[in-house]
Amino acid sequence: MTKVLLLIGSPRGKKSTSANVGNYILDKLNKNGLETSSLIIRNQLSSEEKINQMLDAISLADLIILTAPLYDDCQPYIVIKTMEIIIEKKLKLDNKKFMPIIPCGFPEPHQITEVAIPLYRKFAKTVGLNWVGSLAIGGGEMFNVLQKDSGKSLEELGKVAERLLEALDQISETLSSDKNYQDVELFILPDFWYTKVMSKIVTWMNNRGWKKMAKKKGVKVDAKPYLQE
Amino acid sequence: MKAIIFNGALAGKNQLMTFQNIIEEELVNIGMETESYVLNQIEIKSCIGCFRCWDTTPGICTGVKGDNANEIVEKVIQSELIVILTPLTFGGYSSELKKIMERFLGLVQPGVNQDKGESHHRKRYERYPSLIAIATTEKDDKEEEELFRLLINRHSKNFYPPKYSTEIFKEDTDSDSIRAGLKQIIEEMELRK
Repeated sequence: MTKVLLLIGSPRGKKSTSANVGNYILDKLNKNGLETSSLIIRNQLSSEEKINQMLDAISLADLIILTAPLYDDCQPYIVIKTMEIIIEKKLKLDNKKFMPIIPCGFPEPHQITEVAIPLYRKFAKTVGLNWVGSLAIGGGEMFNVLQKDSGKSLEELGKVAERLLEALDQISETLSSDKNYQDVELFILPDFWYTKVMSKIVTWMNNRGWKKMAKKKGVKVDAKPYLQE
Repeated sequence: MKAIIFNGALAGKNQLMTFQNIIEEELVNIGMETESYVLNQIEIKSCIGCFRCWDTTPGICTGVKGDNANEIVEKVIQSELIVILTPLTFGGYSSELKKIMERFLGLVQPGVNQDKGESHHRKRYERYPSLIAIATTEKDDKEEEELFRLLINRHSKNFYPPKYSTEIFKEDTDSDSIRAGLKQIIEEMELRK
C-alpha cells in the first residue's frame, strides 16, 4: 500500500492554512485506500530524537506532501533547516514522490512560483525526489483568517473556498490514481476580483482592516518604534 | 555610516569568514562603521507567524521571546547598509541566515501596496538600509545562482533597500579575487554618497 507522509511546514503548526490544506488532501487519500500519516515540522525539530523520528518517517514514505507558507519569497526557516538536515544525513530519497503545496498571503500565485517553487524543485532534484507537481495558492492566508473567525472547516466555508477545494480534490484524485499532478498557480477567487479596480478596493479594505485591528488594541499600525530622533 | 554584517554559515562550517573579514575591512576603508554577527554563534529564534509585530506591538516582535533579535532589528533599521553572507542553499538562504531575516517582518507594515500588478508590504519607515547579498557555492549551477539573484530582487520589493547588489562566489575563490569582487560591488553601489 502506498505510504503518504504529510509534512506541515508552517511555524503556526496545526493552526495554519498549511495544516488545513494538507489534512484535507490526506483525508481524501486515506479514504481512497492510501496509508497516511502527518508530522508538524516545527514540533519535530525540537529534539534530536524527534528529528530522527521525522527522518525515519520520510525514509518509509512513498509520497511526501509538503505544505508550507511563503516567508519572504522562500521557505520558512524550519523547512530550510529540514532540507539541510536531509542533506547532512545523506538520506536516501531516490524515487520517492514529492509535492510541495505553498500558500501565500499575497494574492498573486506567481510570487510563489517565481522563486520558492524552483527552490523546492532544486532540492528535490538534489536528493533524488521524484517531482509529481506543485500547487501555489495565492491569498492562502485568507482561509486561515476565515476559519479562525468562523471555526469552520474548509468544506464548510462555502463558495469562497470553491476554487481551492476543486484544486485539492484534483490533487487527491490524481495522486490516488498514482498519476502526476501539474504545476498549478491557483487564484483563489473568481477572475473579476483580480481586475485593477477590484484590486484597489480589496487593497484599501485590507489596509483599513489592519488599521482598525491595531486601533482596537490601542496601538497605531504605522508606529515607528525604532526611529532615531 | 553604519553597516551590519550577517554571516549565515552553518555551525562547523567556516567558508564565509574570509568574506566577512574582507568586507569589514573594505567598508571601514570607505569610512563605515561595521558590526558583524556570526549567526550560528548566537541564539536567534525564527518567526512564528503570529503577526504581533503588525497588530499588537507594531514594529516590535513580542511573539518570540528569549533572544536578542529585537536589538539586532533595531540596529538594522538604524544602519545604512546590511550585508548578508550565505552558503547558496538550493538557490536560497541558509537556515542560519533565514532565522534573522524572518524577524525583519516588523520593519514593514501589514496590508499591501500595489506595484506593477503585484502586492508588496507597506513601508513602516521612510528610509531602509541598502543591501549587499553574497552567496558562496562549491557547485557550478547557473540556475541556483539565477534563483538567488531573483530571490534578492523579490526581497528588495518588500524591504525597500535604496540600493542593492547580489553576487555569487565560488567557495574556493582566493582572497585577492574576493577582495577585488567586493571592492567593485562597494564602488558600484556608491555607498559613500
